Amino acid sequence: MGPALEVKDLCRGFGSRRAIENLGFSLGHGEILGLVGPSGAGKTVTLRILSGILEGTSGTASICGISVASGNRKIYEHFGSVAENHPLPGHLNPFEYLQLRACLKKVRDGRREATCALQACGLLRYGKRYRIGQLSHGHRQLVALADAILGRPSLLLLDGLEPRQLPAVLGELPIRPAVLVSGRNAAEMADFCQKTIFLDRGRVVVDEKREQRN
Amino acid sequence: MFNFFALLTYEWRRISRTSDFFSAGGLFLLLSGLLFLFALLCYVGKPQTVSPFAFWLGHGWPMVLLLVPPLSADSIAGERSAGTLDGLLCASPAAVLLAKFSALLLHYLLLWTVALALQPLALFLASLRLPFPLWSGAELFGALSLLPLSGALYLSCGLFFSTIARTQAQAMAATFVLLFGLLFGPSVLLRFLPACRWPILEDILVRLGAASQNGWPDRFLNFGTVAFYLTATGTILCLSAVFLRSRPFH
Repeated sequence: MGPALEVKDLCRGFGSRRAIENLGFSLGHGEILGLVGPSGAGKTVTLRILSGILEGTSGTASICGISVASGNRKIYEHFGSVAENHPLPGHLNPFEYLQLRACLKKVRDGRREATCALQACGLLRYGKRYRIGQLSHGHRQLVALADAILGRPSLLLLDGLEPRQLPAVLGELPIRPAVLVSGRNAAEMADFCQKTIFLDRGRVVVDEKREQRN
Repeated sequence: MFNFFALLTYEWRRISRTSDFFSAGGLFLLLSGLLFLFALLCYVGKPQTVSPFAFWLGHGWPMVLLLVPPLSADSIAGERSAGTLDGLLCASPAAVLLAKFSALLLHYLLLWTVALALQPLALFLASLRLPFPLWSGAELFGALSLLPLSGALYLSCGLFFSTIARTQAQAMAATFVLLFGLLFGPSVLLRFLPACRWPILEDILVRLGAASQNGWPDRFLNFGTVAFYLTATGTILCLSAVFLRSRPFH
């Protein structure tokens, strides 16, 4: 079985500005990788390209062997993503939203899976009572996380989530997915991730494993 | 197909759970009632100049111009500006478009059904009676049949602009201009078009300008007209799906 995520020489520019340059790494199944860097380092752009929201200028990225740029919708069954300020439809309640997402992702037994995802994220009591638009920012991010873990994907792409929230959620999952998480706090990320990549102005400046740190 | 119903439910909730669903609907009903009474008073003044078919459809066009652009502009452009479109696009763009189109058509027909059902109330409040010639069954049926057909075409145009426009305002303006042209352009063009030089163009213009022309009720419900409206709607929806698949503005 190939890696959960493989990125080779990925570049993206906005006009004359290079957001990321020759980014390359791979992530095995069940591993946790942290992308660390200051604002503007290229973390969000990388995650947006991997989620299929942005296109890379050059280079390749594949999730479970399926190229992100191929337009193959089967790829959505293999990963879940949370963006910083994840856009969610405010007119639905979390349960309705997760049921819709389960249907779009072709998850079997969507009702049960939606309930399990809400439970894993500690949102069961908000599930049908409030609309997403009425929830706080933190709770909305948890709804996005519940969406990401729906259908037990092989890979989670997480941007702007507090790593402290993650162990509890990941502990609820029967099979631990590979996780690519971005953040600014290097110490916090180092505790949580097995491997960390430090980015600065779109370039990898340090690439280290937990064993090397110890 | 399973996706389609989930997306249709989503879209209907999106439409019906907005704060202005009832207020905008109420305003539409009030304006269409007033317009109906105004058209009726004009008809009573000189009934022989307007066919019942043109009366039934004609008084609704200003409302179509007011209704379709804001209704359709929000569908894709609104989702794009809110950032929620990407989440939907893990389904096929065709399913997303078809669900959005169906929800729009449902909303459009719901508003018109309520507006038509309230017309007797408007007559009662204004102490007016519907003149006998307007009860012509065939023309009334023809006009009512053309309402969903033309509505489908106009909404598909609105959806197309909502797909290709960057903002809701751009989509709304483009739809308004196109509808204005579609509603009033054919009768103007037909007046100046040299007769029989371009029979296909003339045929399209005659069908497009259904209600803005008097005296063609024998053609309005034939197979050609229905096929024309359905084909045009389908083509525009397919074009929109192609644009949506190419993910513009990424």
